[in-house]
Amino acid sequence: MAPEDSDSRQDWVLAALDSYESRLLRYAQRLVGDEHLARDVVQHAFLQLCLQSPRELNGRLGSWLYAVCRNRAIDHKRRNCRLESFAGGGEHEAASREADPAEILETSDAGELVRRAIARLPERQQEVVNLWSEGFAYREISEITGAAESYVRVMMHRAFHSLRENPLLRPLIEEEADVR
Amino acid sequence: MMSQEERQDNAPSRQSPENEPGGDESSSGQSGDERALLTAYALGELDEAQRAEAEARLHESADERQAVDDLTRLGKLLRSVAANSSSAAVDSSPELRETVLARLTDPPQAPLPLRLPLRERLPRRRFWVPLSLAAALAVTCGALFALMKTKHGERVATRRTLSRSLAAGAEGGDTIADLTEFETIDAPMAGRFAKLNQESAEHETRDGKAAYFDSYMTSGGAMGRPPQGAESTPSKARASHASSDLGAAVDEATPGGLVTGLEGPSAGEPADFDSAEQKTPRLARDRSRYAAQGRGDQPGQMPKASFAFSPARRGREARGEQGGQQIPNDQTPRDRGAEDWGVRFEEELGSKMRSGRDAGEEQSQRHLQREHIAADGEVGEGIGREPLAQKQRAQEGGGKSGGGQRSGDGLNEEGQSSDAQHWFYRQPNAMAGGGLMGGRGLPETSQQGDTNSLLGYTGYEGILAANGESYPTLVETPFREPTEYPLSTFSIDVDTASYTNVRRFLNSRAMPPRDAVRVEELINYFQYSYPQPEGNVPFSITTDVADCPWQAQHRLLRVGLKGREIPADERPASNLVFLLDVSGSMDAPNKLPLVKEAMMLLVDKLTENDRVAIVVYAGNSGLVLPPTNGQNKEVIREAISRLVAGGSTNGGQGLQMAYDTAQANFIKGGTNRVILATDGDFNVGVVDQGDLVRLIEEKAGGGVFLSALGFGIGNLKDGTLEKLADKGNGNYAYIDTAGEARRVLVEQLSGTLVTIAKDVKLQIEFNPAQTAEYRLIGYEDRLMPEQDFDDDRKDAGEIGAGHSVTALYEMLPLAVSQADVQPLKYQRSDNTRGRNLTAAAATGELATIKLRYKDPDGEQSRLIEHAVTDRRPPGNEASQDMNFAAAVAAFGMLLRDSPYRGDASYQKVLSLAEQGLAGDASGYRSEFVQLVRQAKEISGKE
Repeated sequence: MAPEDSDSRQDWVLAALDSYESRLLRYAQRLVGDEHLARDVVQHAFLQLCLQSPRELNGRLGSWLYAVCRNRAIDHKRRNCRLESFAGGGEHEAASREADPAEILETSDAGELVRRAIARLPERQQEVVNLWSEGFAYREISEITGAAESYVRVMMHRAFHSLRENPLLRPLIEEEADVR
Repeated sequence: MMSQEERQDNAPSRQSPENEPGGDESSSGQSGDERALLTAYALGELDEAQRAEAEARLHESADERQAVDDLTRLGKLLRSVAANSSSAAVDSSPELRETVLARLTDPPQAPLPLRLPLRERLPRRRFWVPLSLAAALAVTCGALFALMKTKHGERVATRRTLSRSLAAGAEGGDTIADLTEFETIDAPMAGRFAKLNQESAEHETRDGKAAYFDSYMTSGGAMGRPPQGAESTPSKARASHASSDLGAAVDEATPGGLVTGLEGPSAGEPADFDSAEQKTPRLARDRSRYAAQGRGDQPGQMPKASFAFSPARRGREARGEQGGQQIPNDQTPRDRGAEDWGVRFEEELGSKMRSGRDAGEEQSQRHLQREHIAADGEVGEGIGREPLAQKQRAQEGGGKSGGGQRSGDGLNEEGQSSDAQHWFYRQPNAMAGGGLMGGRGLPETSQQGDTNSLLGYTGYEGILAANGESYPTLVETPFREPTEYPLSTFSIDVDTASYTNVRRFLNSRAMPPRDAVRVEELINYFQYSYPQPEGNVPFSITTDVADCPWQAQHRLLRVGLKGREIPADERPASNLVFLLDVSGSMDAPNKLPLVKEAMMLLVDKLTENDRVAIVVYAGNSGLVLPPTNGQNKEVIREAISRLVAGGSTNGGQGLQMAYDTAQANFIKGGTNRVILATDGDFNVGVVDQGDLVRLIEEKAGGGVFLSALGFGIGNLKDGTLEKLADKGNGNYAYIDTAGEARRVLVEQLSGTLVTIAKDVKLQIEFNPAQTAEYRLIGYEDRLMPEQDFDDDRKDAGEIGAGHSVTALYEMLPLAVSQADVQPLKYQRSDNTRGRNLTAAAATGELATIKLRYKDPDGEQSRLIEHAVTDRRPPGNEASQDMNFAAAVAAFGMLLRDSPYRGDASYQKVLSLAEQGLAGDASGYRSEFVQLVRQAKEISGKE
């Protein structure tokens, strides 16, 4: 029965790899910036995954992988003495700007507009919003970031309200109502 | 303020990371920021009890409901964008796969050291403790543990859980929720995939966004999915069906949508990315939901639409028989809406067919909008009739069927279909628990038995629903702290259309929709006693500070610009091309006939220096009056009188022709302008607004400006016209009566035609030593990034001869905000602490106004600076003029039901406005007072 066990584990890890590798790479790249580093981070996460019990992670595989990536990425950044990052503080730095009405018309790419708008949020909020957009629920975001769920909730609230008030996104929100 | 809160929130989460899932986060979340609850609600992140609480709060405020709708949409948008961007994902590498495989086949001798450093490095993440313990356990007892974990065994286990949940779900619907939590992760992608598929399967391009969504398809596939998702999928599809059946309760026939959905995949097989076999069941489920929705979305086809509602309706009939059942019970309010909707829909369909207009997409929007309103109104009325019973039932709806709704929500989250406007169309189970929708009608209309607001509502509904006006949503600018946001930058706006439009609503005994109220346009409708400019500056700047009438202790800063007057006889030569919409929709007494009347008025004012041409656009565009000298009044009148409405609209083509005509007759140094008169319906041919705007901008750059005159009730696309005029360096006026036509085209002809400065931008820097918080009233859609102020390439508003522009800021003086704050021992307790204030901050100046403008034909901007000092002690009488401006602003905020309206009331507005009546030669201010009285009466509020 032992070989069967290792087979199923292998299937499990490989399936996780299929599902999450590119997402995690993107995520990690956003955190560490460098693609090479990002690959390191993701590899670390999957090697760690090889040691985990599928049952333990049942239902939270995604958040687990993201959490490992995130921690690893923070490690990397710490090692590189770039402490300014997402790990702490940072609420005040990114003063969101009022958008230029002309911009609304210039850029028709919804994705670009959204990214731009998110980029103007304080970093803490950015992280939470990005994770949520990836499809994670508050609970999972809290698992990934190690922050309390209540904190995630408040961050999401702030972020979403600033986004809602961002004139850049306004037409898109309305469009969203009309789409289909 | 924000930052302090932030720190508070931040601190506990850092110190106690164990305050984690399952902890007391919910309560602390609410106390921290209770509005976060609603955001969480909008994003589908609440559990049942909290959801009930959120819904209770939503009942109380229309603003909140709007916000929740917006946030839900925003959430969808964000998730779809995130999924979309994955198509540009980093490539996965085969090396990683190999490395992982190697690790799997040849486990490291010493796995523990790998993890331990991690834990050391990250002492804060106690999240890791259980995980690594578990991992250690897994490694030490590895083989034994994993023996039990064959893939087969796992699947069986999952199945078992699911079917147990299913069984339970059939009873209470509660556990369905758990079910949906199984795989929130991959679901959005799959849902989108399914949606897309459904779209392509139906081969229906309902809007121009088809291509946009196409990209989702790719991304949906590219994302792949986690294994457990694949395994639970079949059961889940069943679950969804089970619950939908549950929702439809006793509906004997399975809704057609479901059947279609189940059979669907073969019809539109997905562009296969991975195992289609696995994907199919999920597709079937999502597809069925979307099929049902899609049908609801297609108002052009009655049978389909009625299908969407039949289950609900039948569910209600069934309720009579099976009184005790929860779910039918819960559906009651909804059903009423649905039935009502059916009737309305038939009416609308009839009228649409009569008018023979082709407006597919728009119609569906329109009809969604009105369906929304219909639901609101109807539920409200229902409750009005039997308040207690109904209310209880609605509450039951929120409570008892919470499970059902939860499952609905869960599914939404996956399927990404949680569009507020579409909820109604959703399968009955999702609708059943819809405390949100069900409750929407509750607060305003009935909870306090407020029949007046009900009246207001139906009035609004009457006009909006019967037609299809659209207004872009405005979110009012919040208070800002000068320490964080020292600059407030916006483009001026001399448009007055909103006032006229509001007037039209009030005169037809209806409250205007809140987004039709643009406060700055209300304020700018009136002339204030600003002095004429001196020297060669084209306008004067006037500032004034007084008590804020609606918020005790707040101050109001008024900034007024007055453009130089140009007497009619000194008006430069004009080359005017009228671009008239003569499409079928213009065939109403207050449209084309009014346009003709307005033009006749203008003809009287034309001189030999002027040239006029008329281009019409409908099915075809045509030049009905070649450029004609202003002296040939008879020729012009003749051409005007021949105009008849008919055909559909192609604004784009007509616009091009109008520009060509204007260009061909360009008068150097004169006024070259296209004047667009329409009800705003550009619905044939080039409808891409981007193209229109580009054309308009390009021509404005070449010296031909564009003004827009909005006419009529019903089709008015307010936002479009405003935007077009804005881009065309022109102004936008809404003309509802011959009187208004006279005002715009005769009295203010110079202002309408002669631009004296363009790209006028205002930037106000507030002194944090004086002001704790400030808020710009209105101008929401004119805000600019601060760096654009000095960027001459950035377009901004124009000011015409004699035009005046007024901006109001509400300010919280620092002294007031600090009055109750306990002094700190070690630092300054005001919000300027830690700031590097310049010497100028101590001068007592309130703010500095910077203004940039360009001459009408200039390329370089000029800068004017002006410092403001608050010299009037609080409590002193404000000037009459100021009071009137404040009255108009307060009126606008009341109509918008603005959260910033403070203790403003119609009564207060009246008393303020009446003080400003002196010297009202034109009678516009008296008319305002009349309007306020009318609004007071219609709304039934003080």
